[in-house]
Amino acid sequence: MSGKNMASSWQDLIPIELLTEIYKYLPRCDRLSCSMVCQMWKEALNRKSLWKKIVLCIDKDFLGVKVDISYRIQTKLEKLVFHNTNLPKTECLKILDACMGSRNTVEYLEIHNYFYNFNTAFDTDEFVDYLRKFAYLKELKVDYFIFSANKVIDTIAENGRNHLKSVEIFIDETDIHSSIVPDRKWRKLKKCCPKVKVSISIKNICHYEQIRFIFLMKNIPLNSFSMHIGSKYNQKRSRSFEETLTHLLGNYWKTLEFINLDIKNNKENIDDLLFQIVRNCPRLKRFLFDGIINEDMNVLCEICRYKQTARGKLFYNL
Amino acid sequence: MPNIKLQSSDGETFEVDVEIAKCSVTIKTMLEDLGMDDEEEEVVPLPNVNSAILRKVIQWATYHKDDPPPPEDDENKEKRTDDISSWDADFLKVDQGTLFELILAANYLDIKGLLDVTCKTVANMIKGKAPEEIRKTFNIKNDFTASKKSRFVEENEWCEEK
Repeated sequence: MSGKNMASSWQDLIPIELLTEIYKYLPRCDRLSCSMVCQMWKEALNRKSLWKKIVLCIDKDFLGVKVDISYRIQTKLEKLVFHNTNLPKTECLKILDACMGSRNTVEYLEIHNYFYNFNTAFDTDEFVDYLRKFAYLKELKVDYFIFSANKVIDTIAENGRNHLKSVEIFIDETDIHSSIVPDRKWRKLKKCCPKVKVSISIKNICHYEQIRFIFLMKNIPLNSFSMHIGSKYNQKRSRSFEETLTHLLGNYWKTLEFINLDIKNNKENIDDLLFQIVRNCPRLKRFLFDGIINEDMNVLCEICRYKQTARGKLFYNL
Repeated sequence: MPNIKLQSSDGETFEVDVEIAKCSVTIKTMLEDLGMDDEEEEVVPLPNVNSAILRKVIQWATYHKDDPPPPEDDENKEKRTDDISSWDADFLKVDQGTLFELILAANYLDIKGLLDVTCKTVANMIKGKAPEEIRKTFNIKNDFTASKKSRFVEENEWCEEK
């Protein structure tokens, strides 16, 4: 067998699937070179299986300010995640622009732990324009300052009919001064996307007034709620977990499936409310509680007794 | 240990230990589907693999017969290519045509370990090369039209602008 003759058949005979298999072992810069070899090699780069998920590693890929051309020629990206990103506005917009080839296939967008600065891309009108173009988005996970920006919720509500399944929002202490998403906008989201499940995660905010009047609007189709409180918080000030839990129970009992309360050293006695939650939320599947239970083990016994007859699984972490 | 016979596309027959032959998922499924009894003297035809390549494949499978099953792919991890064992590296010191046919055979016979190591070998031949060098290495014709080429340049410029 002559090596030279066989070599010519790379172009004719090797199936595109196998070329993609080989690409899986290549870092992006080499994939880029491959895409410029010939038509078929370029096409092999565009296979779904190769780009199931896109992770932009800022230090490695972008500090030299070179948005990788391989994203630009992709048309089948499904996931786009900005995690711990600290890029100037123009760079973020460039990345989004580079992903526009895939605007009909991106189903998952996550922008989380964006280091907040005053020159961010994610609260601009340009960002909303890009967001609007991702017309088939199923899952959105974003920090609150992005979600609460002008027109974002309207855009996802209008776009999301039929497609949007879940919205996850991360809130922390810096968001107390963000703009408020009014209840009528939540109502609009619920009306446009009846299937949408909302998940809210609150970190380092514990006072009832802040939680209730800034974040937890009545019409949120709340599926999952978590609350984490760092130990630095002053125990003496009023927190009113009781009212927060009552509010949860009163407004979202129909939709809540997951609750995670990581409140550590609560001084209030909320035993009864814990039991009320377990009993009155029919869809509840998972309830994590890290805090203090006051009255002996009665509440735990009651929950366990109730659990035997209840649907679903419950986990306790006391 | 019972043996079975494998027949290559050019008619040569190879007698192989069943357990070794079964590292090919394709053969394993064939045996199960056909309910082939170990005692029967049946011949499994492999019309897509010639004798030279089949001999290599059997050699590889025999050496690796006691390997643990390869781990499931982790999508999130960048795949390594520098972990080819020295035996495999020697085994794959072949001309490009043979390497290419081994990839096709590993794919057809569904032998994950062999497919992985052959793909890695090719990936190593590509790494760090410019498009023109890759074409030269694999004797590939550049079939981009002039307009396409200029579009590439344009896209590149967009990337480099600062």
